[in-house]
Amino acid sequence: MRAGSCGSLLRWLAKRSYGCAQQRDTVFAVSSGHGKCGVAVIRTSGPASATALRRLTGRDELPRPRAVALRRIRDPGSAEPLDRGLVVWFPGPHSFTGEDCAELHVHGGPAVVSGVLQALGRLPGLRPAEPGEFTKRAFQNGKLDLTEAEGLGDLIHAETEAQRRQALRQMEGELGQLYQRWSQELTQALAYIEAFIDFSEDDNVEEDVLTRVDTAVAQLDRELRGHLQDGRRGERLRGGVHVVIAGPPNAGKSSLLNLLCQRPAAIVSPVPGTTRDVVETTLNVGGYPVVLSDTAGLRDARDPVEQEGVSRARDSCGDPLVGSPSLTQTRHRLHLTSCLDALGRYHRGRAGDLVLAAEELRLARRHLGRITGQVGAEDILDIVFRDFCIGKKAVFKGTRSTTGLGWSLLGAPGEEPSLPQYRAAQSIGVTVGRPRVQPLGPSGKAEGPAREAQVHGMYMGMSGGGEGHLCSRVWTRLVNPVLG
Amino acid sequence: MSPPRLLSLRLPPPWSRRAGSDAAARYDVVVIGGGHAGTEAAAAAARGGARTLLVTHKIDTIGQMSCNPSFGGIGKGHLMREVDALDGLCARLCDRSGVHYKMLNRRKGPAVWGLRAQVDRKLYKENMQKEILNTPFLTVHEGSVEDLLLKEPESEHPGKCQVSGVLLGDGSKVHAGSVILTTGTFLRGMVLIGLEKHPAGRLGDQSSTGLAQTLEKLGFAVGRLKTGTPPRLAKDTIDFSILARQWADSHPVPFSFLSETVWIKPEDQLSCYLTYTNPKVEKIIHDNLYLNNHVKETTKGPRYCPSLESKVLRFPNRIHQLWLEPEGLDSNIIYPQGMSMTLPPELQEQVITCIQGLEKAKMVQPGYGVQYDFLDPRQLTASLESRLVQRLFFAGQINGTTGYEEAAAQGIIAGINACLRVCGKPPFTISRTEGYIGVLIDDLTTLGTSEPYRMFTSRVEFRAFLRPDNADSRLTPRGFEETGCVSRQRYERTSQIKAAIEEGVAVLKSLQLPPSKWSSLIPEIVISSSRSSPVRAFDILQYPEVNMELLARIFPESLGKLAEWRELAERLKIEVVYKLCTSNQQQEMEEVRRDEALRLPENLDYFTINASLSQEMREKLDSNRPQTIGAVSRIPGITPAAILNLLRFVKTNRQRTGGIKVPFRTGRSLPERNTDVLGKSEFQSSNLSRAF
Repeated sequence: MRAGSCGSLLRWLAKRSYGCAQQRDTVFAVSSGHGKCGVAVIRTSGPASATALRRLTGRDELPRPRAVALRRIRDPGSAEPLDRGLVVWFPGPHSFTGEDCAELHVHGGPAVVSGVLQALGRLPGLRPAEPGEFTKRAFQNGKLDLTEAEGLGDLIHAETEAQRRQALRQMEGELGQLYQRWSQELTQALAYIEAFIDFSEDDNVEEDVLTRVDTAVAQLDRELRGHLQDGRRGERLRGGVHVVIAGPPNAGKSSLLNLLCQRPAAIVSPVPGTTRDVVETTLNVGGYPVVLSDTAGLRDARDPVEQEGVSRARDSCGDPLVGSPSLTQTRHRLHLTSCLDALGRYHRGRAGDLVLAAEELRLARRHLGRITGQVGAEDILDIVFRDFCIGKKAVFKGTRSTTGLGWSLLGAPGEEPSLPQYRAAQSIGVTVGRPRVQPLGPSGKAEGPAREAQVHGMYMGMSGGGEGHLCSRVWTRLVNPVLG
Repeated sequence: MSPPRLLSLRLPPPWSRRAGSDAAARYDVVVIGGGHAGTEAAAAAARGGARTLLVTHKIDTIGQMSCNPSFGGIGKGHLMREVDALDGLCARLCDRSGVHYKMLNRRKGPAVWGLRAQVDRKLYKENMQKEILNTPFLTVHEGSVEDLLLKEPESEHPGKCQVSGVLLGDGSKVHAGSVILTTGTFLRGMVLIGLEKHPAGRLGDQSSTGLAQTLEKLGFAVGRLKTGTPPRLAKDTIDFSILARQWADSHPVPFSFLSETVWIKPEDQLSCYLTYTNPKVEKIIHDNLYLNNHVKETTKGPRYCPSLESKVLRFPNRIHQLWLEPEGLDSNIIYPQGMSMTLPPELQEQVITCIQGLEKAKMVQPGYGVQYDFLDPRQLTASLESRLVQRLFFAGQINGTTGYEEAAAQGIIAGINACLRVCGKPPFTISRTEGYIGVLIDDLTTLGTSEPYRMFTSRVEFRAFLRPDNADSRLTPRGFEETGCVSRQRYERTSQIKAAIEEGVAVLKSLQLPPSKWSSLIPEIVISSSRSSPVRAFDILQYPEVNMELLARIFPESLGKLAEWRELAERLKIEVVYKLCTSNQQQEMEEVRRDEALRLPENLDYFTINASLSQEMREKLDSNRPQTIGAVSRIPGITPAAILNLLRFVKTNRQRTGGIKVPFRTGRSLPERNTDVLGKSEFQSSNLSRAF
């Protein structure tokens, strides 16, 4: 088990050779939001944090650990005062990342922030953090497991109450604990079967251990199934329900959008081709997020601006695999499904070759381990940490769903995961690092899974007809499953 | 292509006889100890062309089976097949000395079939001595080794000195290119019966203390382990008629790839008998614990081959199996497996006579316990050479293992490498992805051990691929090409069957029929009716009900010949059954191999390197001294972050300098510790779950 675990981590590392000498670097970044604000928090992590704090405060002694101190902050080169603010010193390992950390709470004016950042950047051994690097270091130093890290990311990006509740639970490790418990149960079952293989004949390991393994596996199978058949509530909540309004020109797409969000978010007019760009609006429906995208009507447009709009509409509808914010949750589903598949093969193969059956249990356990990061995999880590873009750029907001979650909502409520969803998830899962972009075919239509996604859901919503009717139809299919 | 033999060493061929005192005082390889590790080591070195001297206390004890009268078992049978694939001795000799052959785990899949045999002690010893005394380039000397001869180290290797020979008990010196220590339990060996204890390796043998002192002075970390052996019973005093009889296999499967059959006629084989303990046994043991030093002490014994006393203490109110095993065709001794104990002899007799079938049994020799020093195997490299003293190799029980097979497996690797070392060739190591031997040695040298280490199939990550049936195709070609210790005859045989299997698989893949046709031809199998495309014979052979014979009746022209070659037919079937699983594991195996290829510098000083590692990690790395990044990942408690940081450090240094320039340890090569600290809590125990 362990052999695999670290192997993949290493491979992941080896691929990124630039990462080699970086662990010893000290990184810094603005940890609060961008733009003018009252207070901005600038954080550093790494061995040079203490020096940085000393140089910027111009004092040799550090503040008491984890206590706030008021200091004048100066440019260490010119000694020019930059600001006066609060500083906090977190010596490792009792810090968020496990390394020495420092926080500077300065006034949030752009000039102050950039002055401090520049001053930090000029210090030896310091460099700006990569997106998600603080969390990555926390993970590498054993401060978080992967699901907790994901939870943290979600918490930061939570826009609604319900999202926040879910993210907080996950960050505090509840999901990880559940997966860990399963993993332990599987280990126990595996230990029995291994004991039966290695000992039974001349030692006192009786045949009934196999029955116990079977019982344990069956129980696990049921629990996993139950967990997976949650109607994708967690994933929907996390990613928001993404709905693309598509259809022929002048069918009333923008009017529908305006009606749903109860404000004139999109310009409407009787002239076909009014909407040229994708207009996105986030709705908060009882604490649940719904992202509506209005698109240009699908027609053979002449106007270049409109042409671009149409092509963007096609992109929106046709490429469920582009971008990747909610991928991490699909990751859980994929591994759980693979785990479940392996358990199924165990049951079917039990009567035959016991070694092959045991192999399935080993495999099932590896899949569970991958969710929490016990068994690392380069692509998982890449994806998880790439999605941490805290304080650097808002990647989460307004991006399209790539999990295919939005699509199924337009199908019949309560349906099993649709083929395109499954495919979409699958193709993301097997792609290492980057999701594959599904190109539009020569006919201008998306092909493969993307086309299926279109056929399955996208065009169902808008085929012309009365707004009110459509509105209620979309509403029932859209929001009810989420709220239910 | 002929194997690279050591031509310069060919003359004069010292056909092995007892070496007199006038024996040439210079050998390429000196092996100390004539047990299962020593014999394999000496024979392997000699096969490789090295002039080899085997030093043993008594020529008469060469090849002695000092404990159980059996070879093989689950996991152990795998090791024997691999030793055989490298042209080792034990498998061939067992095919000539067994009296009861039985394949264990028959119902559990060919990957874990355990070849096992009751072996005639006398015959085995005779056969082994014949073999050893007739091996070209191999000389045997009867005597003791008092000390090692040491000189300045070679600068390009780690180690604070270099062994250059041995000092024999008679005061004479023997110079050697490399030395292999296979002294088993003889290092400060202590035999215990009841409250008595006396120094000895085995009952009736001397223990070697001079050598132990030298090793200690050199700074080798030592631990202490214990083991035991049951009393022996007189066969003619046992009432077998009331006991369950276990028959041997009617078609014995030979251990060696070279043996067509075993020597004994199936019907002439002896049987084993099964009896059980009872509450009376338990009471005697409980009442007399105060008379039992061996059990009371805290030295680590094996969990899986425990003494009767520890079974009773750990699992009270249960009945335990006792196997009555024959010791040989004309032997009147029965070995009661599972009855290992160290009570005073008269109490052992009491225990025996209250067991069913043994009411009138006579005890021929009492059971006894042995406590002994072993060397922390983490001081060795994967070629079993010590890091501390160059050219000094260790193999067998001295490294903390138990079992003849584990000893033989280490012996052959040490022998091959001692020989390669002399001719300045790169070491021959086996990866975890290549064989059980690789797993055994990697576990030992990376993790050490806290109890006598025994091979299990669950320790092996790629169990579906590392099977007893394909050990030859995994190891023989490498052994032949890289070491020269494998005969051409064996190499050719392996190449032939390997090619035949590949061809067979290709033929099976080419033969296709529609599913309906298959169903009518083989009504026993259920083919998914949704399939309309033709199904390959290859896929059909995966069904448990199908074998090559059956397929040959359907395709007589294409498969008839293949099915007639019985060994091939059986191996094809096994190959096909595991094909899917093993090809799915290829990527994972590749990962392990790549991690194993990322070597760490031998003498890296983990306490001073400039890498982001906690003190705890540094200590773990320092005490385990992993040789590769792959090995680091198997040390319990090492975090992924520590591995990443270490890898970063290594890679950075390599990039900067083109080679790793880091602080190396000098002089002080291993952590200074109390000799008896090891073997206790400080050792990392390798547990079952680790291998999954």
